[in-house]
Amino acid sequence: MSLLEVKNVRKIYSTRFSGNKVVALSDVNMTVEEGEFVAIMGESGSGKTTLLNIIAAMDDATSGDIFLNGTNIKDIKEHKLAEFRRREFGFVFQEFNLLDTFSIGDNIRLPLVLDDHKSKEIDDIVIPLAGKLGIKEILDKYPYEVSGGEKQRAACCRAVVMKPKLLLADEPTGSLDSKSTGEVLHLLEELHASGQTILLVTHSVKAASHASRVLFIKDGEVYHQLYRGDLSNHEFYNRISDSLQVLLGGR
Amino acid sequence: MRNVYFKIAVNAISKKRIVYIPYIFSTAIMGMVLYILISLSLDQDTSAMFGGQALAILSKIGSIVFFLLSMIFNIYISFFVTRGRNKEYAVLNVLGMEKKHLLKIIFIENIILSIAGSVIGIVGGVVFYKLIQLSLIKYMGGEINYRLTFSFIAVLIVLASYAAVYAIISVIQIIMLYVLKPVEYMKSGSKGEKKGKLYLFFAILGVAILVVAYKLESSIPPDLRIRTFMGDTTKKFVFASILIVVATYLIFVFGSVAVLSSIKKFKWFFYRKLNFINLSTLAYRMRRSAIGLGTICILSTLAIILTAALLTFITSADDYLATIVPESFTLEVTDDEGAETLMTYLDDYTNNSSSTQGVYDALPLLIRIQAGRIIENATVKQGDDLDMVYIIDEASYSSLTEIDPDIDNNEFGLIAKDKIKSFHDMDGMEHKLVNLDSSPKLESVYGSVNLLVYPGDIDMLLDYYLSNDVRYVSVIKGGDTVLWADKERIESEKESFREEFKRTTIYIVDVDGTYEAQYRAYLEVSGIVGISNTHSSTGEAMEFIGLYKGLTFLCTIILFLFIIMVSVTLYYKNLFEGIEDASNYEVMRKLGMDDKLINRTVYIQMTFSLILPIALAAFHALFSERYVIGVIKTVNPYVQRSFQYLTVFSTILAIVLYFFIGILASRTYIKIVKGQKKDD
Ligand SMILES: Nc1ncnc2c1ncn2[C@@H]1O[C@H](COP(=O)(O)OP(=O)(O)OP(=O)(O)O)[C@@H](O)[C@H]1O
Ligand SMILES: [Mg+2]
Repeated sequence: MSLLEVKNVRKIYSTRFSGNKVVALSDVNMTVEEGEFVAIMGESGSGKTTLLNIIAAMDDATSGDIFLNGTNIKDIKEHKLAEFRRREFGFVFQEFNLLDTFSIGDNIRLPLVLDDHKSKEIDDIVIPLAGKLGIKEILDKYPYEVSGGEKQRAACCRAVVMKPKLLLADEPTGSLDSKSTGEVLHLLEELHASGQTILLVTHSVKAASHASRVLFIKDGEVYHQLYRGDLSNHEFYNRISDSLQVLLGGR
Repeated sequence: MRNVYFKIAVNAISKKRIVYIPYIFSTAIMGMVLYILISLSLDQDTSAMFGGQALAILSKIGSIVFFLLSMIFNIYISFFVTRGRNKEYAVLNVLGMEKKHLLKIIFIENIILSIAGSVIGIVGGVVFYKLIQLSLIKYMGGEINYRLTFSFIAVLIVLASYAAVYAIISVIQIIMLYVLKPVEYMKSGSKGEKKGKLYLFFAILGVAILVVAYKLESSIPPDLRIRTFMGDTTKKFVFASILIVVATYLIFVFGSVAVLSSIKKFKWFFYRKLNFINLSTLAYRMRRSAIGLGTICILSTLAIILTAALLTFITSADDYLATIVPESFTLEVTDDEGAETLMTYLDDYTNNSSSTQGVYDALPLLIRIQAGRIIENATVKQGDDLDMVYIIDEASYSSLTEIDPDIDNNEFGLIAKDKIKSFHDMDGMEHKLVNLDSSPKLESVYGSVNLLVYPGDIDMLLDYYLSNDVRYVSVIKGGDTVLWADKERIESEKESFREEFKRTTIYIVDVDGTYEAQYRAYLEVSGIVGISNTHSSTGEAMEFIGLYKGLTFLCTIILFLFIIMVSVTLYYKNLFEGIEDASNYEVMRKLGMDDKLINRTVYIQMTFSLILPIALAAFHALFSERYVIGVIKTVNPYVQRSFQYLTVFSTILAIVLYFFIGILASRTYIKIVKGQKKDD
């Protein structure tokens, strides 16, 4: 059984005023196995963010089903949903989305506190993890006091602190310079190496080249996919780049 | 080209309605109240009422104080309102709009806002003024007239005050425009909590200043005389008030952060869902909302003191009125003819509805009080400090005071400022004196002169003086005070004296109807021949009631304003925090926080930001007791000392009121935070 199974997911947005309908996803089918590092690529507006939101039950699909470890997320009761999201998913966003009101350390602790962990346990989890991700020094600072790369590493730390089954990352390097991008990608690779399943949405070929499999979305469907196999990052980069040219060349 | 700026300005205002409409509304209310207060102080119809003159003076003072207060408040709120605009100016600036063009936009915007505010304010003022004037006349008892009054001077003053306020606001905005660089503009809004020992230092400084201010206030003597009250005491109180304002802001700005960050160190407490979210958010917000909370605290202090003072004044009013006994007036009638005229007159005057409540006999003598010296043999010289002493009988005393005096046959009762044990008559006989209590009614009949209460019939006493060869009567207390009757005169003019000192009859007249009817009757009756020594407190009472109603009225208006100010402050605080938090809210949901938890934290934080200012305000108010009571005493010397209970009561009222304001404000906040998400 796959960790994640997306079956015939369709999403139509209808705007309130004009009644216009936007088909964000027409028919998406995909699976993610445990321990996999999957990247999703596609042009702007192709529905990548929409797909992530539906997977994490932040938004309802118009039709179709999502299974996580065989459980259909539609069957989860409304009042259990917040807890479900907290335990099963970790999120990393392009805009970092750290809460300004909390220090970096408290941002990372937040999911644990929400999950009613004992105060003694909390720092036993957070401090070593922060050490591993190289942000131990900035735990007492506030988000506005640190750089974008540090923010994103903190956000990754927050995303995995609950040991989620699936880490969802929506363009985590989109707002970073190349040095910070390298650091964050390296970090994702390390997390993957330690067994974390990752689903990464990205525009960047470089970012996608760190994954073990790349899916291409076009017109609301999974259009193509590439496996890394035994390729090095560099070789895989070239393969992805070629596929993208074909994909975009269609226009 | 001018049109473009006008369009940008109008666009900005209409696009941000949730910001500008409450702003225009609150400035309009300020203008309205200012118009009403000025009109009240100028209105002839108001001044003509009893207590109306006092009300006019109070309105004048009120309008000056209020003008300053509303000016500060408007400027303060304008900071909130322009906070969002600054970013927009920066973007326009970056897009290539020159600063002088931005100035034009600011200028046009302020003109639109000031015109909207003043027009609504003045129209509202004219309409509400008539309503208020009518209800005031109804309440205070004057002549109702329905012609619409319109005070041109008030309109001019209101317009001038708007011009002044917006001139200041424009200058501030222009300075900000030139001082801040675009980059800083765009960043404004992303500041957070700063830590440091400085915070602790300033927090402790704030507490220390507060303690000094409280000590200063407590050192005001409990029994103020008007003279001391006007001088040093007021200076002391004003100084203490300034210290309190400074301390309040220090405590909120620095103390709150210091306390919150030290609580954070207790991990077992801090790492719990609600505490974690609330403490972090409060600590982060405090730096900016602290000023707002301090302002709410100061406004609440004023409101609580005002309410408690007003309630103290109202609850003590009856005591004052009972003391001066305005329901009746007293007349001294020295001959039978005068008595007859009076009775017929009263019958005619009130169609038999009048009633004489009591007729009391009294024998006037001379009294001399002189300190330091025994003057048993003194003779009366002209210019000596002579005063009348009435000798009254036991029955009159007990009917006026409802006290049974319990005087033996060889004793006299004495009602005097000094306690005197005994007196000697000429025969060297010592008569004991029983010191008796006075009563308001007794004082209203005889005034505040000294009284001797004779246990028997007064005629017999007079006979005793005249037939026995009594040269003088003296009353001695520790060699200090002498009560003294001029026997020589009695001797030489025996017969005419007896005529003259025949019984004096004192009538207490109570006319049915209002105080006004009472007062008119008094004025007419006291002109009758044969009536002397008239006394009425009705006019005094009417002035007092007028003042009391006027004060109640003014305080109600001002309290209403405080409520609006606090609500507006809270509204803006929540509005802007809501806008800032909208993105956080989305993240919180993704991190697995449910709506219920988020709502709960909003309500808890709201509770804190209202309870803390009120709690401190209650302390401020309690410590102002001595001075406030002193002020009330200048008007009503019989004020009851229930100020503390009334302060607690007012605080509870404020908490109940803020509870509702808080719920509304939280709803606004939650609506903004969640609404933002859908509109994106
Ligand atoms: N709330 C919404 N209401 C209506 N339409 C929406 C909504 N959210 C997204 N869409 C539309 O759905 C489509 C897919 O949007 P989505 O954000 O998933 O794209 P994306 O692949 O993440 O793009 P990008 O790479 O730019 O982030 C777009 O056409 C977008 O306009
Ligand atoms: Mg997207």
